[in-house]
Amino acid sequence: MENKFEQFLRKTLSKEESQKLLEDIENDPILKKEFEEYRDTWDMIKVLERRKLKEKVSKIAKNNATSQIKNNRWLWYSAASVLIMVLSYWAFQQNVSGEQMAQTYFKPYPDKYTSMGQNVNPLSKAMSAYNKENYQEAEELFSQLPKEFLNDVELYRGICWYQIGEKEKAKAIFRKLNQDSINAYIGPTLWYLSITHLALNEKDSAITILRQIKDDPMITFHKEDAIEIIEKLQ
Amino acid sequence: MCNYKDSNNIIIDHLKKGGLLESNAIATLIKQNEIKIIVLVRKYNGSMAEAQDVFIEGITEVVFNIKNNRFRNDSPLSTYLYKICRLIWFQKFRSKKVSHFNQEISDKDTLSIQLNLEYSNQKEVLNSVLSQIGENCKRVLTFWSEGFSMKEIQKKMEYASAQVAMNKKNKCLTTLRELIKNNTELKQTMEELRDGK
Repeated sequence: MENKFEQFLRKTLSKEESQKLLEDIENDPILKKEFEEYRDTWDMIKVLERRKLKEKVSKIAKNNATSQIKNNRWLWYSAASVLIMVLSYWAFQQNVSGEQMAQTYFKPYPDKYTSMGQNVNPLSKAMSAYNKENYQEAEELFSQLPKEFLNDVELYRGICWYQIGEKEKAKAIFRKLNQDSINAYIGPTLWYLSITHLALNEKDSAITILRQIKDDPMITFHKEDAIEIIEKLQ
Repeated sequence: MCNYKDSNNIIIDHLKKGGLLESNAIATLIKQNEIKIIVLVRKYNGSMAEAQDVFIEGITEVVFNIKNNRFRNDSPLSTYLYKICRLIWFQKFRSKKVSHFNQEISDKDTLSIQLNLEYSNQKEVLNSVLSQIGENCKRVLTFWSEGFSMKEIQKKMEYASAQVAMNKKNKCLTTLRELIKNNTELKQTMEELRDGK
């Protein structure tokens, strides 16, 4: 009979069989008692089954939450990576565009000394290195020149530093020259200073100086280039 | 056939098959309904922890009812889960704080006697009875209740044969039956819960 009870409680009996069993139970007090005891036990065992199920559900929910956090974390990591990449690209673009522009427009200042026949010995050696694009050597030779030459060759020294890659040193020299009231090379100084700012990606400073070149009627050196760069930068 | 029945049937089928399919179906139910239930409980001033508890209890109840053929499949599973969670919240959680909330609930869906027992004043007695049968008995009876064959139980429990598993099950069943028989209070509580008192 227990098998029948089990099938009934598992709901695997047919409708007719279930009906028949219920009728039997109703008509037989001993069977009824037996069934009630079996049902109580069955319900109690189902408590065990439910507890096991609840444990499983809790575990799955916990895993879900963890994977969601992980997914979110990955989402954040991905978003952060994309942002970093975009920012890096943007920063790179900023650098490249400044540098590229400087590269496009930069040309070493021509040798005005030896080409004009001023072949003064200590200077010619330095200018020779400069003309041969041996900028490191040229800078060393320029710096060893007697004091009276130093002011005249400062522009070349700045260009040497620029070409060596020491842009900050170049900038310092051009700035100093720009503040020098007896500087004979105002136009070139401003031009190379603006180019150095560009190369250092200091666009605002570059624009300020380029505007000086543009607005000063006395300056003709690279005026058109200055106007062109201002337009590009704006 | 209504659309919800199609999707219900897939979940129901997977839940009844057990194993990985069952776990995946449970995970799907969790993913699809968690926010709704949390919002429901929070709406009635439940804490986040209470909302989580109601949700876990609700999912368990729904899966348990499906596996035990108590779900009539006459509404989308998400609606059924919502109703069950609402019942759990008002009858089991909220009712502890404000008794009049019980009156708000009246519907054809009821909570299982097992869930009701867990929240009844007989819980300690229930635990005491179950602890007396021992861990092995609990495992054997649970496997049997879940519908595993004696051969499968033999493997799971590492018994010598399916017959040994059957004997063990019968012995455990008799022990538990005796324990319940001798506990009138627990019997009465179960009777009352069955009658919906």
